[in-house]
Amino acid sequence: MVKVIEQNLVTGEIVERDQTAEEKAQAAKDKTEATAQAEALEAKAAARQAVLDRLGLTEQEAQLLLGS
Amino acid sequence: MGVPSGYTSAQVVQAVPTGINSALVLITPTSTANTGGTVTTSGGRVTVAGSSSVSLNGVFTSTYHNYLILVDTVEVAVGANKLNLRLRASGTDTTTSTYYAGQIYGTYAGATGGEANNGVAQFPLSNLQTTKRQMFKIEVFSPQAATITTIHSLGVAFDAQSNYAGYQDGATQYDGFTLFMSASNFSGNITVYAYQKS
Repeated sequence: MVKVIEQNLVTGEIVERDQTAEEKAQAAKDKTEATAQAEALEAKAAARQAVLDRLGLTEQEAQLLLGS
Repeated sequence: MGVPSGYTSAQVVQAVPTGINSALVLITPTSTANTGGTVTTSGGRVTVAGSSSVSLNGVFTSTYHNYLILVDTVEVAVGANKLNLRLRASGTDTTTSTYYAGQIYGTYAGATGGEANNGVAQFPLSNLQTTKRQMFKIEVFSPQAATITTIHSLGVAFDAQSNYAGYQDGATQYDGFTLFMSASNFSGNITVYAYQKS
């Protein structure tokens, strides 16, 4: 179980608690979206490499041509 | 140096030469909340060790308009993961798809590019690598105003520099923020300063 630690810096009170259901759901949603974004970037990079391979260009040559 | 009139003991005014009115004011959060790992606060500097999320509350007030957040010595547990920012009010993050940010990045190897974030649930800061020293300089403009909050972040990662500029669309008056990673945890130091109004 993931713990959340809350520290009141005015009173010095420290509370350690379990994540709420909402916090857990948000963390799961964030992770799913981050994974999807990373996979999309990987797919884009693979597609770019496939085009370069078809053209017989290296990454450095593509950067010279396209400026990126 | 004593505490000047108009400031609390939690706010330390940096010395400036006579006649110079601009200065940064160190802000100490009223509270923190972290998921996993540990967080300690000393002299306004919040040190994070192995947390996936850390929130600083009570840092944005009506006393100041604009703020500077420095995050230094950042390391992450799992590389190629992004550190993000969310604004929060009364201990609750804004997680709606109301963050807009354009990125321009350049790797030290020479590649350049960018990323569009047109209505997403967080303000991205940068992809980070493991056990490498990295930093962020984040400016937050008018978080306490009941209008959009604009944000600019300069990130120095292990293999690239990255700029994100954009805003959070809404009318919430924010008093804090959360830094979080979705698929890793991070370590580093967070310091918040306010820009003097005049």
